Amino acid sequence: MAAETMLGQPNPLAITFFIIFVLATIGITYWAAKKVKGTSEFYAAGRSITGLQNGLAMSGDYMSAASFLGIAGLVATCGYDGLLYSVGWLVGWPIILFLIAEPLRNLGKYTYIDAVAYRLKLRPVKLVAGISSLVTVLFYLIAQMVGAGTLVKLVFGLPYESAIILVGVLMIVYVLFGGMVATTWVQIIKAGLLLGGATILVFMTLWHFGFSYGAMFTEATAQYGHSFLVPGSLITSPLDAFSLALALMFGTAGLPHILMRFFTVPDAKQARKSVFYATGFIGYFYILTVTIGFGAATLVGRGMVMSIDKGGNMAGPLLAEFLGGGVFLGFLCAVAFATILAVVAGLTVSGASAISHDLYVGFVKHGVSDEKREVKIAKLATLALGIVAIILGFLFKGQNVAFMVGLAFAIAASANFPALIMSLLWKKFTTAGAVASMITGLVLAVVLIFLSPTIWIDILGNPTAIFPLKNVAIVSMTLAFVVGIIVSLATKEEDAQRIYDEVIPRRYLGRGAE
Amino acid sequence: MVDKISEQDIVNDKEFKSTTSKRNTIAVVLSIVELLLFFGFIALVAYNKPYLGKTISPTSDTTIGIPIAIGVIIISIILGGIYAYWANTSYDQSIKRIIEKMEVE
Repeated sequence: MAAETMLGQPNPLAITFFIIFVLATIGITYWAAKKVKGTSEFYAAGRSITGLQNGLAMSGDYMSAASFLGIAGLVATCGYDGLLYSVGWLVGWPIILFLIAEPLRNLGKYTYIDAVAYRLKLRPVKLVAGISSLVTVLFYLIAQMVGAGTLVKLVFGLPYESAIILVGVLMIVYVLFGGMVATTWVQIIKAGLLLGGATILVFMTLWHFGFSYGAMFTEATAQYGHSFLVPGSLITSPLDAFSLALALMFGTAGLPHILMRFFTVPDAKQARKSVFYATGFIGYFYILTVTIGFGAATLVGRGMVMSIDKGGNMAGPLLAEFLGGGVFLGFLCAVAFATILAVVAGLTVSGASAISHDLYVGFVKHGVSDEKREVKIAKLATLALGIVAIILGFLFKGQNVAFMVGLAFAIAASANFPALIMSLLWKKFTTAGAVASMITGLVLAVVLIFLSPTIWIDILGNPTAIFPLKNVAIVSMTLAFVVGIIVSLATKEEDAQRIYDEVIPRRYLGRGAE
Repeated sequence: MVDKISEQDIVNDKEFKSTTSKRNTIAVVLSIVELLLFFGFIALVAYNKPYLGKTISPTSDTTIGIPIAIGVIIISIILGGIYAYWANTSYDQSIKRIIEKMEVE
């Protein structure tokens, strides 16, 4: 229906909105820079964030371009299948709340790896977990950088390379000078903008249908048939469906940049509150995104959406233009760009802490280092990560990187989550068990995805895949648990069991927690 | 809070043990409910697409699958809310009471 779009030409309104956002966040970074003195401020915002603020920041970290543009696009192009992602990406949160939030907050210090390593031998656990954490972050980062470059090119008319450099430089500025304090507030502002923008868009969509979801679905059926509202082509086999479900659910519980947010609040009570608020915001947001997807399919049309971007990623912005003209399009595009920027900053803090806190201090320095030096290393790591992110953004230009978010979730579910939950909850878990489990999960997730149809057929162009499933978690995560359990049972570790009992007051009461 | 009593006393206290183990039980039960909810939904997607494709009423085009998916999201939020509320009020207060009582004794 909307035959013409302004997408693809520089949009002065989008640029204005975006400049306001950048100025505001740089102002915050300037204010935050004065507060960042030591490791506690740089990694954990001085543990001064409230439950509600952290809930918003967590949802900000989690609502990446993949969930905002991606789910809306998937719904607009594939219909019901998009809902599987919105449900799958939400259901991990209650599990984090029930099983992980409290012990993680009380036993950890700055990163989730602290909570894996607290009763095990420090160096081997920090080395392997640090690498796996860094790998998760890097894959996620590549997907965000390439997404940012493509989006900026479409919306602002800026060349891809300049866009990548702009994102890289801004994220370095936030993290380098403002640490977790600035990153948290950038995240909160972005979450507010995103939730507000999506709410307005949904309101306008429903207005169009006389506030009747039924009318919208009737229109969708009329245009695309009944099958548009039924799970379809995305799920090829039951095994694949369960495997995807595992990665979505438990990947959430193994994402380093999400788990890191638990240490920005003062205690377990605020940690529980943050997860509850985050679940609420994210659930609400996913319901909005699904509505936006169906709105775009019915009002803008699937053909139009796919003609701008084959993956459907521009469904949301196109719907905004159809309903609210160039002004609303500009606003929403600026919000989408702010989203990517904030997520990239969150990833950078957690990647930098994996390098400085886990790999450098934990592994190289046996856990002993003075604070000044650690902050210095963290800042150097930030700079290095920013440059690496820019280079990776260049290297993967024009590549289909959608699978990399899936890969990040598969690694998080297979390498990070099993070791974390076993260390928190199972007394007989040992260092050898942890190391074996993490290596199994990491190697299997990466190798199997390489051999799966996603890369082996779609990217490398082979006729058949060596590993038949598109989603690997059902094998990699299960084996990570099995190997972790078997190796732990075979290698008794007296110290680990003793410390498990010793920290009970800390685990339940937060006594001595940092 | 001043540590008037040793941590060991708290850990060995019967009431403390029963309260924390009750918390653990509730957390595990809620996790199982959440897992059943989500994997039940996925099982429908994997094995019974025709059921999800039924319309909610003869005059409507909306399929049952849509309210079910949205329902899973909403129930997940509610389950989390119930736990967070219970843990932050009732559970935290019980723990506080146990420690205060021990301090008086």
